[in-house]
Amino acid sequence: MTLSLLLDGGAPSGWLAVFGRLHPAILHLPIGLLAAAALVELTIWFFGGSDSRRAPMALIATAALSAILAASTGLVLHEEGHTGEAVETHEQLGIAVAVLASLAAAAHARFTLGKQLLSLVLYRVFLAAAVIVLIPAGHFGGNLTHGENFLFEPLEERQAPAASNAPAGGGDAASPADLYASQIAPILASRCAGCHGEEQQKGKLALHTPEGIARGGKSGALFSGAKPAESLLLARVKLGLEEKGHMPPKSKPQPTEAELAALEKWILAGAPMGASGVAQGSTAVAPAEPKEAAPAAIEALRAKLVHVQPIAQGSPYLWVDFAAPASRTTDSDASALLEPVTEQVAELSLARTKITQSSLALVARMPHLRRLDLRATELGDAALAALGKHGAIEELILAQTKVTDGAVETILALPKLTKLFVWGSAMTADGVARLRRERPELLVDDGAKPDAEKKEVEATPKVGTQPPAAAAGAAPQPVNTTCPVSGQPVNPKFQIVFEGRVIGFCCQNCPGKFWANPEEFRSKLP
Amino acid sequence: MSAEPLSWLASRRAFLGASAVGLGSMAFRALLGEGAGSVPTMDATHHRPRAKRVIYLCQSGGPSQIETFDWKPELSKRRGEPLPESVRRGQRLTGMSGNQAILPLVGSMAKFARHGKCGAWVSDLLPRTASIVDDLCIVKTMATDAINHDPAITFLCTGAEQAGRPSMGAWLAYGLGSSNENLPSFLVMCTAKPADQPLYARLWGSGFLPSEHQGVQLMPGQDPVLYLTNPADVSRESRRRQLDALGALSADQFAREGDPEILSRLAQAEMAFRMQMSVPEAADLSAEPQEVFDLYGADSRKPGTYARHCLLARRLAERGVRFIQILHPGWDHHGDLPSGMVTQCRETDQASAALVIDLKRRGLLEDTLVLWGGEFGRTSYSQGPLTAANFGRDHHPRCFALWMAGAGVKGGLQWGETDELCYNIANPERDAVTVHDLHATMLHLLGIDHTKLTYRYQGRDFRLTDVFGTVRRELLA
Repeated sequence: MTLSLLLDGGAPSGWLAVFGRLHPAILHLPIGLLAAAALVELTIWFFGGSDSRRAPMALIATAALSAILAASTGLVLHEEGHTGEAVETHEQLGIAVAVLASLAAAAHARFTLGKQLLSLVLYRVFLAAAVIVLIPAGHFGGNLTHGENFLFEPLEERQAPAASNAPAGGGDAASPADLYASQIAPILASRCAGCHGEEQQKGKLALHTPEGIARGGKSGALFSGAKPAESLLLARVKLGLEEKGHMPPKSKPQPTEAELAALEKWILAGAPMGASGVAQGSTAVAPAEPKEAAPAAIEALRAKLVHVQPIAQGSPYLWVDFAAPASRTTDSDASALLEPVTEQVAELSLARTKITQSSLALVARMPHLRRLDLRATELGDAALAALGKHGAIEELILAQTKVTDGAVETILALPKLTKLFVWGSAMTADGVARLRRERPELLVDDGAKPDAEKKEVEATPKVGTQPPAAAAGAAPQPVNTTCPVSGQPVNPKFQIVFEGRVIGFCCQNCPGKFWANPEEFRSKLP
Repeated sequence: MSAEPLSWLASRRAFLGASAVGLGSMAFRALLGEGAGSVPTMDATHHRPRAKRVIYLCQSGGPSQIETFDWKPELSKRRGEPLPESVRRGQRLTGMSGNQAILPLVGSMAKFARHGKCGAWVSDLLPRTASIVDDLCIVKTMATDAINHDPAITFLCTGAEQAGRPSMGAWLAYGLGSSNENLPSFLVMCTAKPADQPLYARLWGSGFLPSEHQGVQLMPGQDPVLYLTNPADVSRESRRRQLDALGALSADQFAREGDPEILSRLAQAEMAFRMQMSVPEAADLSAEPQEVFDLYGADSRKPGTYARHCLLARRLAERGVRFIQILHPGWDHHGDLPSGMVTQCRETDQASAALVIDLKRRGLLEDTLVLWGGEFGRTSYSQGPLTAANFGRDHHPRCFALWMAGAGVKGGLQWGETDELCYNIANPERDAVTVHDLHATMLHLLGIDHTKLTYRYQGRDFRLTDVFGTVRRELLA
């Protein structure tokens, strides 16, 4: 709070941060010392005792000092990004303890000097108040480190056995949208929300609401698309236990394998959060995810040798490929097989089939279709127009089809299209140029040969090198005619470069002897 | 192992019992899955794949990185000088050059130039490959453990130097199955040419995996798959009835003995039956236009050549074959490297590049990973005498180059730097890509977590990457 003004809004760093992090160690001193002071005072009160007030003075003075230290370290630590109601309450109570302990110490000091009874009464009142405030302060502090309800948890019934007993594969019932409510929320509540929840939001992260999950924390968004591999959340959880940044911290209960699998599956499905409808990371709300395809529909496809496979484990989306029966596949086959899975198809290859316009009308009703391969079919412009303004297609392969420049309008009407293949179709260079002009971000591959122009050619090395021409047989002439090692005539086949000059030898053994001690033979060189 | 097919059988049997179809030959066909081939282990990939198939252009023998992708002007400047001990640092050499009096450095016999938007240095031995560098991810800092051909190529193809492990394609067939039930998920083609290094079937074998996952070799000539066609006067209907009868007998035998190889054998027989139709169609190039033959080069008209196999690979990829492995021997240039490299590059350069170009324009490069490379590199010193026009290079495992293209690989990337004498990787902690890393990355692109695709054998879970391998995301787009 006030300290943040001092820190100019930034988090503490360097020795100041170290000072703040002493808080968890120092805070035990005032607890113990105040309790000791109270115990001594009670003993004296009930049983009487020596008149010496030295021991109580020492106790309360160190207690006050340590309470002040604990409170100030706590204030610094707070600035490291611990937020939440519980933190604020703990802070206020901690400051109160420090103030009350200081007042108690002052009163006691006054009493030891003047022996006025009022001072002693005041001391006892302040001391009692400090101890009373200490209890909730400590409790809230404990909640912050160990998680809310750490103390009373053993008394409560386990709320969400579903979380840890859930099968890794997600099993039958839960569609990805239900996944959040049935499995993910309980996991986050039991494993994470103690520190990243309602009470406190370490690292500015709150995992108890869909909004908080979508917002992410100090280190950024928790997800990047439906990619578990790029999810910060999963990365932290999967980090080695000993690694810095592993979550939950080593000392806290760790998620089970099944819980990890459920998290991964959920992220893979795009981290849907059900009715609250907050899509992860992005602001755009994706179209509702379909249910898994009916097993009978999958069986029917497979019976016709159509390859069908979820695009990833636990995903309802399908990759459907007519590669095996392609040459026999007509509209009626394709329609009958695809109709039951229109919701689920994400990648579809109808390459080399005999389909026509009517199948594409069916394809137009596939809301999640990302990639459509129509390579080597007889489809033309009119057929392609049946796609309409398909809102999901990103990749479209029209290579070796009959589409012409007349398909340009249809293609431009596909808002999400990023890659297009038209090689071998009847589309002309003009059509391709128009597509590139109207949609510069669209990659159009028309099979044009890559630019073979060389950028830079190796400089012909100057001294002491064997130009590549040597490979073709042009041997450079050695500077010597007799072998410096043996004195025999030089065979130009055996040569080395020494100090920029070509030196010849009589046989293959002499270069080795020469290199072993060039100085010895230097005088033999011309 | 044995529990798995039994439970699978049981569930299939329950399914059949529930439907009105009785057991018998029909049932067993359904049991093996007329539309299912052999049942893959994974119902789906672990994550969304970038690659749906792989074409591996295996350059057997170990092509020289110095004459292809790793330009080292310093070697040319210091031609003839002995390899300094400060660079070799006592690392082992083979028996072939280890006893040489000197190890004279020798630079590339080919000239280099920069190509493409990415400006990659490629030698003039590979003009066509140079023209597509913007689509290639060239890894110049591959490293392997093995220094001799057999362990090195076994390591590359199976993930272990010792024989007996399943090959890459077999793992894929086992994990994901086929995406065209009429063709095997793993097909192999070897260039028909005499070579020093044999290409043995273990490089596409199934090891301890069920044997239907081994690669099926396509042969040049009339019968692409040997003994596939029916003998004269045996009709297809007759063969069908024969297989039905065999299926019923096998079902019986399997119920009694439970040996999974019974199912494997039958799966192969059924696959062979379907291949009688699908393989001739896939291997028939009569419908390919002249333009295609021009692209792949004149060799593509000749059966058994590398160019022919590249063209066939494209046709197989179009038809959904998961793993296509082309093996081209002859890169083992211990001597006569200058002429040898010219020949080898002439045999492979145009077709390798053509394959990438052809896949790309068909939209297939989007989800096909093409991999080019050998089992190790070659030394920067000459094996045997270094003469004006001739030299050789010995095996070199500490650095070599390969390229990948397509399916989620970063095109136009040149990864890693070797030292100026092309002997060690300059920054091995950062740049070295091990064979295990390559496998892990390949499986990652295929949607598979390499640590999760395992097979229990002799009391231990095995995987392609053993206990190693890191997915090299730096290489991925």
